Amino acid sequence: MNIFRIFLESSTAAQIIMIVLVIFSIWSWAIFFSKLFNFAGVNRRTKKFLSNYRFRKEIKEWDSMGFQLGDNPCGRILASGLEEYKKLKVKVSARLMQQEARQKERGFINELADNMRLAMERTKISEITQLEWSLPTLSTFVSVSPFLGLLGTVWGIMEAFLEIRARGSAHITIVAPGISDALITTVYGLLVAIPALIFYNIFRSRVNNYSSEIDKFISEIYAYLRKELMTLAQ
Amino acid sequence: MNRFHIFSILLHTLVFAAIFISGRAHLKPIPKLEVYKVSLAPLPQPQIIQPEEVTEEPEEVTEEKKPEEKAPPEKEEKKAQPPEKKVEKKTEEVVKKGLPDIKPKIYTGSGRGFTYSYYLNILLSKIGNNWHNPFRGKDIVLRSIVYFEVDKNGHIYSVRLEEDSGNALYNETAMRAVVITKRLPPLPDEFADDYLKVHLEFLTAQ
Repeated sequence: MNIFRIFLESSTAAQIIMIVLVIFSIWSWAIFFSKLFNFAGVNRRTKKFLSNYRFRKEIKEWDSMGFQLGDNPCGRILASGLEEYKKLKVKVSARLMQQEARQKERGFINELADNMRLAMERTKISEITQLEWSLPTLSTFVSVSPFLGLLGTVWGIMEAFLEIRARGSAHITIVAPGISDALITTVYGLLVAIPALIFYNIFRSRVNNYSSEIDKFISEIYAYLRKELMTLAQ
Repeated sequence: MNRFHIFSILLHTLVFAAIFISGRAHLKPIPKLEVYKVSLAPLPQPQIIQPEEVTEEPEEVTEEKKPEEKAPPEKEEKKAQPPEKKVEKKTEEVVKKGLPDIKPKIYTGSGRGFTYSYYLNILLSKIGNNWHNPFRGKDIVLRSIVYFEVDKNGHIYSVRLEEDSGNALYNETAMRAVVITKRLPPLPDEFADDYLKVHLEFLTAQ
């Protein structure tokens, strides 16, 4: 089988479909390499950050982690949590100056502490969105490519039947070219869709894993920061 | 377009190049095939003759084989010995070249008649394929009859030479054709008897 000969001998419609499918293929593989590179970097930086984070038990120490707070999702989430904590700390300290409000302080801190969680959740959403970047494109290729291939197949079969009608004969030499054109587009479609589906599933599961890891991290940070805020009221 | 797209394009180029190089062997021009339309000629149908016309053995089935090709008129004269009907048939029937030179007449006994012409066609075709007539195309007339029996499962047994042609080689080839056939399709379910007795005539005449 020579795919170039089949391509050259195909009808214009089949050629257009095959070119589109090749573009899809190039694009999906580019996404694959890009995401692979991306995830490898994120993974490496996150591991490094988490190993540093575990050794530091104080908010001040976390605050001094520098660039590590900005080069990975967990670091950015921690940074947003710390930022919100600092704002709340100023508010709580101002409130503590008023003696009459002391009794209601715990309820007030509880209300404000939720702001830290919300800030970290917002950061998480933007991080996940970044991690999911171009997965919808991959998903589109997965679903569209077989249909495009199928379109080429139907088109080829239609042409074969038209040829039969024009020549008044159903001989194999008349039917075979149309059928072979028809089938090659389906082959192209599947060749694009199958790897794209595999890539999509790989990256989707990685994003899900990150999401659950980040959730655990957020609850851990939130609990600690909330406790720190509570100590201010005592 | 970023570096990953360029990398992907390079990868695709490599893959296509590999396919192209591996497919170069197939780049030889495809020979233009001429298509011949062929239609198969129908096999000669066996002719069934009622038993009272021929034999004293009412229970036996006899098949006769006739050459398919036209016999020259002088030989027809030579073949005056067989019953008149046979001669008439021979002159009337012209079988195309390439078909098995078998044109049987079937004699059925016991009033039941073996009327399954498709089975007889298969029988004649199989035995005919195994028969290598040593005198084919030669100016000689020989006739030998081989008797055999076919059981329900189509096994051939009790093969014996019933009528000597006078030529040992010819007899041998006729016997051999039946013996090496060994097995035929099972007899039709509708056929009530346990076995079929066949008297197969091997006749050569050019």
